[in-house]
Amino acid sequence: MSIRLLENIGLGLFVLRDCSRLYGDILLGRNRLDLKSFVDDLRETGLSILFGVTLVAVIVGLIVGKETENILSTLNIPGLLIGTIGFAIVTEFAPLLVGLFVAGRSGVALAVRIGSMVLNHEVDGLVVCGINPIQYTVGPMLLAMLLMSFGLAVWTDLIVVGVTATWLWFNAGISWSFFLDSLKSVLELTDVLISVAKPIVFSVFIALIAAVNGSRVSRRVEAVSRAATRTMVNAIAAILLINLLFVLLN
Amino acid sequence: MSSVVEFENVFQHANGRSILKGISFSIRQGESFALLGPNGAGKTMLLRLIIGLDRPSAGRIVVLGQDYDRLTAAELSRFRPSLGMVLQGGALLNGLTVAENLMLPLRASGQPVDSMWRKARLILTQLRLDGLENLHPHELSGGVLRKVELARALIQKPKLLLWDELLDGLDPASVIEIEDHLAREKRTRDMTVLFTTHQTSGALQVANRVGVLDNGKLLFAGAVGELSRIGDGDPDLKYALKGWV
Repeated sequence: MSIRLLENIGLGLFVLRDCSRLYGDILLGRNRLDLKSFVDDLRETGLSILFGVTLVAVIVGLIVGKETENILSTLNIPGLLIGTIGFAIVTEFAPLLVGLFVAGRSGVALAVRIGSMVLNHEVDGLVVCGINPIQYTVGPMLLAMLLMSFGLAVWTDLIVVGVTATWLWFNAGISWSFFLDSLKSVLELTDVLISVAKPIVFSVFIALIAAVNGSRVSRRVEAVSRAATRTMVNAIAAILLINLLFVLLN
Repeated sequence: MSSVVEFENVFQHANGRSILKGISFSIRQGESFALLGPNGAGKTMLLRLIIGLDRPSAGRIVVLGQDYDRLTAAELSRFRPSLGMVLQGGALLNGLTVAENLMLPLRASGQPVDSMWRKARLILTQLRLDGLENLHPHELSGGVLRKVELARALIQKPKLLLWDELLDGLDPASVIEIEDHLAREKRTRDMTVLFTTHQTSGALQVANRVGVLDNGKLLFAGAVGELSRIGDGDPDLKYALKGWV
């Protein structure tokens, strides 16, 4: 393991500790959340990607519905097929989709924001004022990512499942109640909770990766774009790895 | 007069390069100390060490009686607002308005919002920046930005003001305003000022002591009047100054 990697892990842990401390202080009334940054971050993390997530979820729902219809024309085992596909959508596909969108939008935006702030001496300016830069960078953004990931995960599940069920209802004559019963037979409450928890865990890692890459920016402008691409690649790798761990541990 | 800044044999290395080489000097309370030197001499790094943005590789730094070797990161963070610093190249938060930027040092000390607003308005008036409260930094000209940065550094009434590249990007009228304001601050609260600059003629009017830094070495530290006398006999110093004085 290289020293650089160890340094990055250490920096990530410091960021996590400072964020936890900030949230604790806010809850205890010893600090204030910068509401303006938080609202901007909610918009950036959630609302700005809502259309994209919805569009992709609808497209995926249509593809899954069509493919299921094709398979059903040769294999008449609707209960088994719908249960299996629905399980994969809810527990695997929807969380990954949300994770990738959050990484691409919020993770990259956070890395660029921190990198630009380092480059423009804004981080130094905050430190000189006696303020932990976390309060204006990762702190509000991570909180927004956690809230919005939860919301987007539920939304994506509903859209993909809804569109798939509607397609099969129109084209394969499978009723909504049969579709939902098939899903219920394979999905347990823990599966649903894990599917919603996954994007939240992804968000924590995406924010830490973005914070580490952003704060590593040197004085050169191109370092900001490098931090952005590195954040995207690292975040995708982290999302897949964490998802694998969830699968293996479940 | 007591020392406000003391450097004892301070070295700073970064990326395999020596940036400061055995710096020793002190600044007394109420002084205006100008740090002169060419680009890359180590002036900005010296200021960063004083404000505690970087830790020295070796040597001892004492600021306002605080030995930095004995301060934890948290203690240093609490101590920093008693210093004011105008950083080179911005350092205002672009996402915040002028007033919100000015209130940042006050937020750190947990002051009520009303009081912070009053202080922000007062310092803007003193520096003839009225009406800029709700503008964002990107809406301001370079010279006005420098004055807002100064306002933020002064809002906590620091005992020591550090200014990287004083008078840089300011028009002559603003230079006179700022010189007057600093002179008033020094008179009323005995504030100490340490600044770096390239505009030597203006700086020597403001400063009563001067240091010359070149290639990480402090070639001279003393009264302004001594500089030209010693410079004549010291080829290194003469080269570093390149006929400024």
